[in-house]
Amino acid sequence: MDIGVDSGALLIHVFIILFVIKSFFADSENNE
Amino acid sequence: MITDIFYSFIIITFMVFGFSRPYVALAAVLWIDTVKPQNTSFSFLSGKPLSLILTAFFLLTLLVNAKKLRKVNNGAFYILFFGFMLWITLSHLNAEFPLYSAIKYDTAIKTLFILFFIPFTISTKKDFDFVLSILYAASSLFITIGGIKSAMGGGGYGISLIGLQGSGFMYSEGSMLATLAVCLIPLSLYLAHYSFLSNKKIFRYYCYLVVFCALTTQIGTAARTGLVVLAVYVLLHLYYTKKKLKGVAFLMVLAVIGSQFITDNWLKRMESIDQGTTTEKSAVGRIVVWRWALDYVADRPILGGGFYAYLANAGKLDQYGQEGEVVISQGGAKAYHNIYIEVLAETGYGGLLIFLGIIVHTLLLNSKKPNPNDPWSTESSKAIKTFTLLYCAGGMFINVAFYPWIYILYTLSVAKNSISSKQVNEEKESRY
Repeated sequence: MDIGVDSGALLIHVFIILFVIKSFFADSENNE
Repeated sequence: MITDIFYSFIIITFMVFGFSRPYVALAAVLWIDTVKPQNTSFSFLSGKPLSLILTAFFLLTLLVNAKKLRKVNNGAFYILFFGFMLWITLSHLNAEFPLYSAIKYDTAIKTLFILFFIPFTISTKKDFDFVLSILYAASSLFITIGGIKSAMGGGGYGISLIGLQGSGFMYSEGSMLATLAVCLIPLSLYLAHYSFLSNKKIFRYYCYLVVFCALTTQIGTAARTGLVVLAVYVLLHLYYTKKKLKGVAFLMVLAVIGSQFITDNWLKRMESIDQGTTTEKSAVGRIVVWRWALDYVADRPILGGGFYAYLANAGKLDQYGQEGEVVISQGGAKAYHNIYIEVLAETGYGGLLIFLGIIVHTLLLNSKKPNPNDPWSTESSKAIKTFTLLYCAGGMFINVAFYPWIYILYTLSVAKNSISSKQVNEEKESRY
């Protein structure tokens, strides 16, 4: 169970980090 | 292996976007120092000096983009920050256990040095939100792991919810994880509703997931510190909410959700708060160490005993018990379990004064009169102030004075204050 949760949380983490970076730069480009 | 590939992808992304933007490189350093993939990896990233690489990269971006850095006109910030760096250096040079002291000093001074640059690199609201979001996403990783495991019935007192038991990793300790979990609730609400990501549904749902996990983490860790911090949060939330009925409704929803996961073991552990100060060994042990620390620092009032000074209490704690209390008798040393006592014993009254100055200045920077034209400033101040107060409340029971959070909150507050002041000046100029 532990390994499943760890991997799942990690996947969410990677997704969220990349999502924040993507949103930040996509918004900046639109503003420019 | 796959995990390491993902991590490498994140590092490369940060480097690509961060080369001409120091705040992105700074966010990368904060991310790597929170998640520490080099410590948890079983593949090619294991043991690699990732923190060093990204820190060197950040310093390089500072040099390359020196013209982009902003000026920080805040005398108190320079005095307190440099003062604290100088003070801990002097305390370390006078340490009672120099070899042990060097280990903690090395981490503390490097952390302070890097965090010092935060106000110089963040120049807009969006940069501020970006750095905060990355920091939030990094630290909430542990809360989601702990929260989901707790919701599935895992955890228990003394069991590390995020693995890495006994590794010294800051969030493998239940009380620390429980405190951080509550601290992230105000940050989740701020980022979900007021940051540049507030219009992104996915991110908002993630913030709500973190709030849910923050509650279940309290059950999973069975840490009494978590319950105390949660109680402080309830009071602060009610105090800050303008529409009190809405505030009560929100807290009731949290209580109903949290109560679904309460276990008998958790209730038993929380009931022990009552008998804490006289018969419960863990609580009495802390109070005895505080008495010892006050006695210890009386001989070294200016600089304290240096880092790891608590090692000096080995075998002496039974002398500090009082009548009617359970006797604390142990051969080994016992840590302070309190940030104020930790700073006092290790850096003396001088260090404690500067440390308290940093906390007070953080609170003052976030207590300025709200600008009705700028809800961002009001809400971000509220979130940081609540976080700081919760951390300080949790710090009454854990050793986290030299972990980065206090200094991150401080430097972010200085940055936010500079951004808000600049905006106020621009508004004034445009009026004339």
